[in-house]
Amino acid sequence: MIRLAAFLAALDRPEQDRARVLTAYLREAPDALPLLTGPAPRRLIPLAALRDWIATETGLPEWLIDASRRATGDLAEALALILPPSGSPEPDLAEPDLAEVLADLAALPPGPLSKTPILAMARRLSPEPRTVYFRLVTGTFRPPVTAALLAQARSLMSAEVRVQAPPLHHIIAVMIYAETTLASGARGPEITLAVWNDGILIPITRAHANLPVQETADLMAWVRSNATRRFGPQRAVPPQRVFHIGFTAVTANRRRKSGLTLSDPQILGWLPDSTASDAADLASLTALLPNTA
Amino acid sequence: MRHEPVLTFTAAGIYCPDGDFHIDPVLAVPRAVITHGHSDHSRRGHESYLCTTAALPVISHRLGKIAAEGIGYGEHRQIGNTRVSFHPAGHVPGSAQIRVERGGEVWVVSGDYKTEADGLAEPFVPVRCHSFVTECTFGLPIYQWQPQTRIMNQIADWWASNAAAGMTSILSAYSFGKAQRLVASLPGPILTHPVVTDVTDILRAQGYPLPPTIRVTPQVTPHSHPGALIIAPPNALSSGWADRFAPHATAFASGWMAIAARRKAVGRGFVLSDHADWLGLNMAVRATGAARVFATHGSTAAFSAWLQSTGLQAGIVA
Repeated sequence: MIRLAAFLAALDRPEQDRARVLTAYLREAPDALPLLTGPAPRRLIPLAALRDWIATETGLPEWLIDASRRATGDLAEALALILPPSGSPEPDLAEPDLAEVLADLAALPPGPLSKTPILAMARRLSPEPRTVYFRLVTGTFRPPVTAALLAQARSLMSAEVRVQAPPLHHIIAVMIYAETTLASGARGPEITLAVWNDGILIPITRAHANLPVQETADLMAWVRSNATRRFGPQRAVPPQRVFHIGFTAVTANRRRKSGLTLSDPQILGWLPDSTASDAADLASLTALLPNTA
Repeated sequence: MRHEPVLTFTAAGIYCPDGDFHIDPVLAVPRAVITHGHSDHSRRGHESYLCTTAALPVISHRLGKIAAEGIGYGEHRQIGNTRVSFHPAGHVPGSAQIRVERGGEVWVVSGDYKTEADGLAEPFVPVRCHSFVTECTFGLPIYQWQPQTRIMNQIADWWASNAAAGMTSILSAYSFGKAQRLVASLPGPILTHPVVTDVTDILRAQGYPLPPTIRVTPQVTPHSHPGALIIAPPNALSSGWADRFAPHATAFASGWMAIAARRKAVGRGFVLSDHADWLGLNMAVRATGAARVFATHGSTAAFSAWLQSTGLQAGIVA
């Protein structure tokens, strides 16, 4: 609940990149998404009834609670602040998370709501999460994430996944196949790259071209006019286009002709002045295998 | 026969007719008795000042050349036919409540105070009296502070996560009191705005337990001090002083940060106050044993009405 409250506050702050705030939160707490997009949870108790509970609990007169509401501008927040803070010595660690709170609410017996379990949970929360909790139980929680914001966050997340793994190794490889008809969007055609082994080009990986727009268009045109064979969307091309590729690791894979798989392969750039003879040797990749015998 | 009360409330501030002095006057007066060095209590223009010896260095630093005299906590001074003494208020270093006795009748003016010990200011001591003039900046039950250690841990976590993200942390806090409390309680070394540094140096020289701090000079940059925490007065943020430390994260440490609408305006807020919270105010009022209480500063109407509802004779300093 601490994370949820912090996220809601951050989302509400002026001059925030809301999509980025949402992305960061969803990475930590993907289960919170239904709550954020709605529908809002149903009301378990009216806000005015919660106010009466807190008044009884604290012994404070109604006029003083009203004065407090005027100071915060928000009754749920005032009630959360008025109920004494939790007495736990290490409160941040002991506080229930969203999943526990929702499970607790779902387990409430049907029929009229008793204040005991609601206030017992509230007492375990620090003020900001407690305000969120009071909004949830009084049906005054407003799901803050619109479909547009969610879509923005999702595209941000996939973009970040793409750049997340920085390549640790680089080699030069030559294109031997290309897929040109798939709707591969901005990432460009998927191409198959090869390196030398005993004078023969062995495919080692596939990767999206991911080149600047003009280079992608040139590449597609070159593939179409130079294809030697085709099967489905795949075109075989002469080994003439050479690329600089990066990857994070090499692992053994007996099912591949090369005997290995590259992790997170990325095309780092086209090397227009290189020829197939500049492509690496398979031995330089097998040398990167862990525990090479 | 005496008809006037020991203390009266005038346009210039709280006045003692029998001693002919004012306490924390807002207008220029001949004799000012000062609770502490914050600028809304310790103003320019008085002919003479009386404050605690501990408060004097900062007051002199801020007000320049003034006719000021220091007095120790608990010492008595006869002024007219009153006996005046100063007692720890726990608000900031050197802060005091002022006790005025006339013929066995005792009034106490709290000044600003805080009941939780903060490791720096002389801890609050309740003083028995017949009439108590209490501040009530946070005199509503929504203001209930969490222990200082918890807030300091929150600040330290915020600083660490900013540093991990390659950002400078800029924590805005009043330059006298709050800033040094942070310096004393957070892991260092901490960078301080020049205004904060000056006050910190004065207090350290007085013997307050303050670790070394680093003054932010033009040579101090995010490159020379990556991931640093800078404590700066609130106006340093609004004036653009902090811009050269971008990318930076900003936060404000104040009791007002208890309110979401106030936090929203400042980035990140930490609820750390140099004033008593609701429970502290109530406890302090009870501890004086006073039958009559006057509320000043903040939620005066609500707090005095609350005290009346508990059976005390309560009013507002007006």
